[in-house]
Amino acid sequence: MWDMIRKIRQVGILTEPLPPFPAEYTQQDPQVELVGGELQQRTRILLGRSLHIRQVDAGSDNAAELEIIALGNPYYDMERFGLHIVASPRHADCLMVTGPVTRNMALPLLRTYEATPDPKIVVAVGDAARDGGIFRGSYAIIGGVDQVVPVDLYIPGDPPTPLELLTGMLIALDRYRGKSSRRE
Amino acid sequence: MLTSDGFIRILNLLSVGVLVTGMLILWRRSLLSAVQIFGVQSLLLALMAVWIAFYTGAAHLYLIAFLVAAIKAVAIPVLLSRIIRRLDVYTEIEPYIGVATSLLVGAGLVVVAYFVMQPVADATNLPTHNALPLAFAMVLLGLFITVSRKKAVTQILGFLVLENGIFMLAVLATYGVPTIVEIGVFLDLFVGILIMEVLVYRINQTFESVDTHVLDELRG
Amino acid sequence: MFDATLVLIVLVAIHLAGAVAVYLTRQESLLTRQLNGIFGIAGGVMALILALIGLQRNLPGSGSTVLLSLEGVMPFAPLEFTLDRLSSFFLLLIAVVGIPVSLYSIDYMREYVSHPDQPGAHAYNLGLFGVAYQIFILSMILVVLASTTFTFLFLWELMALASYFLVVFEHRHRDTQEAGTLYLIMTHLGFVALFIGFMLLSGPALVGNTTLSFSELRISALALPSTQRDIVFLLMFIGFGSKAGMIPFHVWLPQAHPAAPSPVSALMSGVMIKLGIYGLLRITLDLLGGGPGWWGGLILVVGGASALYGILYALVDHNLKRLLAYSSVENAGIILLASGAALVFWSAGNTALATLALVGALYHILNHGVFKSLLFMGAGAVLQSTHTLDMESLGGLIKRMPWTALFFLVGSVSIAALPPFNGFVGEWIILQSLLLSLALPSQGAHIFLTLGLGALALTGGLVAAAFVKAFGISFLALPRSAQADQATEAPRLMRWAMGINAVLCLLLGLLATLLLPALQGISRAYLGPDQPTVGLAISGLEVRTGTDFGSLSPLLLGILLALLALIALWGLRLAGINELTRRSMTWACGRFTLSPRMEYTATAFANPLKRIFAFLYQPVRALTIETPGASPHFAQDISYRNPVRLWFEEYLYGPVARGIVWLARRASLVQHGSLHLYLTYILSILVILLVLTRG
Repeated sequence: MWDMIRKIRQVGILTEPLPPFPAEYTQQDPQVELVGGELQQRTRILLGRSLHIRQVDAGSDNAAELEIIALGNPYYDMERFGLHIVASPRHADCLMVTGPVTRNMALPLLRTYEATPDPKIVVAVGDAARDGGIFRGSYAIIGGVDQVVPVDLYIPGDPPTPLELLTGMLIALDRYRGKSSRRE
Repeated sequence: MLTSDGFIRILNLLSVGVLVTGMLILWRRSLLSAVQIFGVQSLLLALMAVWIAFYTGAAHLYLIAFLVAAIKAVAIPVLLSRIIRRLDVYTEIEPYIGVATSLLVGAGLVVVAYFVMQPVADATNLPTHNALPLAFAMVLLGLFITVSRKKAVTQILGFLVLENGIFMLAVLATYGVPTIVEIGVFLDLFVGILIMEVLVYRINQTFESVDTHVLDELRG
Repeated sequence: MFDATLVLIVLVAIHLAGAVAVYLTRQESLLTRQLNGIFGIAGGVMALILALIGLQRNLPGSGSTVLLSLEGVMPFAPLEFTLDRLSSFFLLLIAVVGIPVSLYSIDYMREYVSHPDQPGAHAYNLGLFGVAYQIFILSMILVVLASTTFTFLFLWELMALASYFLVVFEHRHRDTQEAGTLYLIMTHLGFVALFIGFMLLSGPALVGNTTLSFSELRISALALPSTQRDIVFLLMFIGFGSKAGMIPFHVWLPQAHPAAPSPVSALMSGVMIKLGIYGLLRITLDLLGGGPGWWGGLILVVGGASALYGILYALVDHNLKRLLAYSSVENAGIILLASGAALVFWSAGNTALATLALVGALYHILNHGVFKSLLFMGAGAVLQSTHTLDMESLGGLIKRMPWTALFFLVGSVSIAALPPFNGFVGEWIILQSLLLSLALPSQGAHIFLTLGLGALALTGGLVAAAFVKAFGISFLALPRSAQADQATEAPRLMRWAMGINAVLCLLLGLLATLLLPALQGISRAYLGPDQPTVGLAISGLEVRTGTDFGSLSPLLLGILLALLALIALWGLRLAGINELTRRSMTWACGRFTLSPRMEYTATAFANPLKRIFAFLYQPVRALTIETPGASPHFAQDISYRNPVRLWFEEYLYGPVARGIVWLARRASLVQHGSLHLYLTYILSILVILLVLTRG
């Protein structure tokens, strides 16, 4: 401990102060803010908490994943809009499935769907998730996500942009409300 | 009637004779001759018993002398010789302790016997007191023969010498223990030798040797 | 109603006749086992009657009456049997545990009848088992009635030997032989201590007196100098403590209990180790009539240490029966802790708290007898069905053995001291007595008693963890081996026996108020009336401790819990939970099937605690990976071992045993085996002695 105190005294502070922050860095995309604000309000009203999303890669080429991951970066920062990625379908309200469903992933996808508690919505992300996309006709795939589990919403695009994803989730929330109200 | 002095002289002579035969057993390697020497020793003991009986008038000692002569001087040597012939083992080839050393140790044991028995001999006023250390020396010698020899037959012989020593002690010190005890001892001895005969035979069969050191293998 | 002496004679006759009858039957037959069980039950019923007579009596003091005095059965000393309240209580324990266990043994022991497919593989002599079993129970019954030193020691030894033969029943296993030998050594070390202790206790009365009845000892003990009383206490503490399984003399328990057949484990753990406590109570409370405060303090500290040590090692042991054995060490520790606290209170003159603590100790003795025998019977059912006790190869048994699982769960909940089962009431009373200890004036006592309180609380939490492990890993999820997969429910009589004990667990919990006054009577007989305040008051269904300190109504609590559960269920039903229930496969990260390899293992369950208490366990992590190919990534065989350090075995018994072996080796140099050498020894010793003694 004394060594450390001596070192602190001898060396002093080495870090430099931050340079002034350019204004454009802090600019927000007004569209994202608009959609996001709407999302946040709706999740609050609908759930009283965030919407918990489990992302399932059913055989994707990772293009859609990159966009989904982008949602989590500081620019979009989806958690502030009430979207939360969880680690287990047991905790999820929503399954976000990407990619064409390969033969190997068909059963795991079904298992994941079964393991998700009701009410739940399935969102197929990307063209490939809709009908196989550029992989359509391959012997290795079964087809779109709807070949295996019922899909509530398709978000087209190869891959869809983060803003498209956010807009899609806005619609997904409506579907979710429909399901949960039917239950009651 | 002899004088007490003459009695003692002859008694001492016989005692020394017994001791000499004991040393001879220690000296001889030939088993057959050792057995014969044992017979001679027993005969000397019988004579001693007769001599004491004659002198003291203890009639039962005659009977005992006869038994000694019959069992120890005749029956047991015959039995032992039979074992030796049957097993075809005639010599004590390699005793644990060599003949020269054995004789020295034997002499030492006689000294020890004198040393130990001196107070006893002094304390009694028996006419036989001079021979008492010799009798005790026989006991030690017998034990020593058992210890130092390898062949089972020799060990039996050592045991018999030891028994002779005890008998001699009894005869000299108390003019013989009661007859019934003595007869019992003889019977025991005789049966013991018979059992040993069988045992030695079995040892030979099992280990193809009557060297008792092979029995070491039995320990855990 | 019954004449106690007559009952005792009938009892002895039943067990002796049982021993003979069982031995005479054909051993393969069902009759052998039935006779053994029936005679065991009949003897147990007689013991129960005797216990009820003894507890019911309203005699002043300890209520002792001489039942039987037999001259001439033993050549040099008469046998004498006396019934008093303390022995009645232990008779009750023997009967309550003995009856179900005897019932259980009828079906359990068929395990040892040779199977036509593999003759002789598991076959053992059931006739001899019956003889040892009957004598074991009989000796336990008689030892608590024994009222002379000779009778007591004789029966104590008989009990040890009978139990030894029962432990080594499966004598063809090497482990069993070793466990039996260890048990024999430990029990005899204890016996030596007891023997010396009794001799010292007798003091001057020893000379020319072979009877040495306890009533004489009570008088002679008063006259002993205090140092001698201390030595007597220490010897008795060691002797009886080694039987009770207190540390550091507990080492035989985790070996002997798994080795013995399950009914025997149940009896040994449920009853026999309690007789160690009986002996200690008999000596300290009755014969010595109390002692200085440090006696109780010592018992308390060692008890607390035993409790913690036992449960910590139960946590990391994955052999079901060894876990239970360690748990017995723990429970013996709790009982010792409470008894020690009682002695501390007593020596401080606070009989109210002493009574409270002693009642707690006695009640826990009975409770532990019931639930531990239940658990051992459950473990036996598992063993019989799966032929393994290794928890890492069990699992999924709740589907295959639902009744056994239920009963084992009841036992686990009881031992974890959860209401409304019996373990809760006993430990609650003990905790109350320790909490009330602040009333004592002495600061030193405060420290010890508070430490005891902490040890007890920590133990309670660890017990729950250990039995969540025992039940969860063994009975839940998927079977980890083919044997566990093919397990079938235990036979009928075994289920009945376990059911009786499970119901007893609940009844002793709910209806504790019926039995507690009797225990209070026992305590007061030795400790005297409560002073300065009330320690324990039982009114109707309520137990109150101290003056308005704590109160508990077990029956009401049980009803309340049941009501709460019903309301919760009803509420859920009202919320329509049933229609919404959707059954689907257990989530396995999307894998196709669930496999037992995905399960939580016992090792993994225990690992967090293993890390926390690493200073104690000092676990050795041995990981060996075999990679036969060129690449290190294709492992063929991975073995992981994580053994813990057994302190007492390693640092106490290890060096002692090695020392003895070293000495023996030195001694064996002399024992060359050569006849000549031995004869030479004789000759040289003879000559030397003669020369030395000359003159």
